[in-house]
Amino acid sequence: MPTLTIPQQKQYRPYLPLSWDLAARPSLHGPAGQELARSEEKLLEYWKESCEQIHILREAHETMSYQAMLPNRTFTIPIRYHLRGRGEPLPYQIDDE
Amino acid sequence: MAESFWNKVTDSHLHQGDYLTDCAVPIFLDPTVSSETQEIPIDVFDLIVLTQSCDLEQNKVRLVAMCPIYSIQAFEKRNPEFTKKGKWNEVRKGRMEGLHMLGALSNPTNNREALVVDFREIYSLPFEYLIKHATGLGSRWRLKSSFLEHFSQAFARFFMRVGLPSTIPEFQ
Repeated sequence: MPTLTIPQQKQYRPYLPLSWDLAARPSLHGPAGQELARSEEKLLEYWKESCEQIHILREAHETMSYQAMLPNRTFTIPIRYHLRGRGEPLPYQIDDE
Repeated sequence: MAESFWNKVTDSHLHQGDYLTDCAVPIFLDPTVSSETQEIPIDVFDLIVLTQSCDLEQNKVRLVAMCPIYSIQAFEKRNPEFTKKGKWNEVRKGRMEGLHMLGALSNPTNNREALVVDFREIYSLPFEYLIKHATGLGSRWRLKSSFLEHFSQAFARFFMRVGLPSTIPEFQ
């Protein structure tokens, strides 16, 4: 049966926390056994997909996670704003051949 | 022997990839709050020029786009999780969104002296101020080709990225 395991660093795959030994155990017989095998496969598939989603989300989170740096130093100066009105477009030089 | 990423320059022309230390960045305060004199903070950052050299040479710009550049040690002090094994390799390989790594100024083989640029913080500073400041610095470092083009492309890739509402499921 599937068992939860700790992922190994070197061969990390998103769904590795779950390992299973389906090949090792005797195959299930009878309608109930086959039903159980089908459920088991579905569960594994669901587990793999969920783990992959978590892996993707974690990766995305990790790539986002850094703080903006502080300045080398800060000082203040007194200023007074002058409202100059709406800004005009700058002259745009067209380089016609 | 690893090639250096940088040249030392003393000219008064500004180029993309110029590394300017101690640039003053005024922090905007809402002018509608008060008509009186206000104290505004000036943050001091080491910045690297993003604006294309051709635009700077032809005086096409009034404002120059810059990004802050830090030492690895300074960045780790603020972001201790970057001391974990493998984090800087992710940045080095260009896999850490918003960050770009540049080789050390004078010792390119020492990765602990490498520098990191934060593309998420973009400042526009007046062209005249930066020319005056660059000249006042005496000498400064300038990113060499093709490290410069690589840096420029990394910024472009960061800026032009598109978030999709959904993705095609991964092939098993």
